[in-house]
Amino acid sequence: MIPSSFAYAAPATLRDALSLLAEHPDDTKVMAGGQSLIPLLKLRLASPAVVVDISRLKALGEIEETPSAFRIGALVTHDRLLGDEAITEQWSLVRDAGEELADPLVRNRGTFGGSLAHADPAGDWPAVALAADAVIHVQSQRGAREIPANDFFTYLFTADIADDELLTHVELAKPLPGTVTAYVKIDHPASGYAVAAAGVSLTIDASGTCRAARVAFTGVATTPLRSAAAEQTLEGSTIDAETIQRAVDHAADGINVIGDGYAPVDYRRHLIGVVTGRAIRRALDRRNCTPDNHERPHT
Amino acid sequence: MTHDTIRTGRPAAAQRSAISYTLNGEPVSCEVDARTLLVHHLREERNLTGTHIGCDTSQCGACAVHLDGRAVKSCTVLAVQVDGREVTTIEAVRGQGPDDLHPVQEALQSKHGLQCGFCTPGMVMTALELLDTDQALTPEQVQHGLVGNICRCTGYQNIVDALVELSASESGGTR
Repeated sequence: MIPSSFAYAAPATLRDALSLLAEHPDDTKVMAGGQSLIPLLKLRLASPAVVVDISRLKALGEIEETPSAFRIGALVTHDRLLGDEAITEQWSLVRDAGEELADPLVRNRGTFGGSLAHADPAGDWPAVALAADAVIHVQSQRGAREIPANDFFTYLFTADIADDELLTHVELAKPLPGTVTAYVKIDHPASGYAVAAAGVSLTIDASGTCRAARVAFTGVATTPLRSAAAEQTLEGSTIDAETIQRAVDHAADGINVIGDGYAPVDYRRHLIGVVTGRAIRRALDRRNCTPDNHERPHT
Repeated sequence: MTHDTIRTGRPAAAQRSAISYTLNGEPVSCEVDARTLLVHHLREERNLTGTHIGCDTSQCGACAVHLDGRAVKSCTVLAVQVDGREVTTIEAVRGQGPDDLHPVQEALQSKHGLQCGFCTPGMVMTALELLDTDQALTPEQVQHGLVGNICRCTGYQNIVDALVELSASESGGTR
């Protein structure tokens, strides 16, 4: 399959990239690793007039660690992120999600930032970004903006990025002490996409009380999104078996769950509970474990 | 390829871009259409037909090549993107064995790790990166590493066996 024709530009600087986006705001697609965009071009589900390939913007290819956060450049590949031990030890759910994301060939080329900007309602990284309270940084000639992950995904394949804006990096704050995280996916065996998946982050104090909870889903609605009901159930509790069951039972409350040929609405609601329970338990299993304790498959 | 390309107002359909890159160790300079996929460029413009097209939807891995030393799906890379980079295809995979076979190819042959052989070039390119480690790989690690390469004949077991055994022998048999 051959994409329809487009004009192509591979700017060498961020400044050039932003000026291109300002000059061609209509019908332009930004390409990072191309692992979502090129399949769409081939199927002609997307036929942009202009493709701006940002893969030569070296400044966006780095992971920077500050005392309080990780700044993940827009061009950091899935594989590179998985290989960053500081991030995967502090945010275990990054490793959980990354190892199950697509396949090694795609992970060598696809990017974390591109995946968020693509805003696939069944993408893995959006749920991770939501559970970890990531902040998405975008830039245009008009200036820079920071968008909390919770406000970023607005509709099917739609994120809060204007036509002239470029996602430059994603900031992942270091987790608060006592935070444990996990990501559990039930995927479609052929496509590998989530039929339902949950990313969970629990901050638990010395007395065993949950001070902050994030429970985020992907694959279940028109956007990746958080479960207010599950989070409220967990926060302030000691997360005993009964609390987990309540979180499982109410995880899908308030969510307009989609149904499709893989999973009708009722079954997907059930799966939301299943992945919620598994992710909470997997995160809790990591309490008092040194980060290296769990197995690391070779990647 | 700056944005002058766009400003000149040439119809998009006519946009040709000059690229120079290294293909299997040799320099190549040519013009490609922006929309030409790397796999089509390799097969139709470079006549390297060892790289196969299985699914064309970025799933099967039959088109795997190495780009700057990493295995990628050449149906999901634009030819214009390899400007200045290094591409290695199955044609450059050689070893000291009979018929110049590489150890990965010999292992697949000896374990009956192929039947029709259509997926094999992609399997080999992926396996080369997977085996680029000092560790002996477990069957689970090989299975995980090959998840992006589909084979419709073998049921995978012989491919996994071949790579596990090769990896054990290359790492001195330590596990």
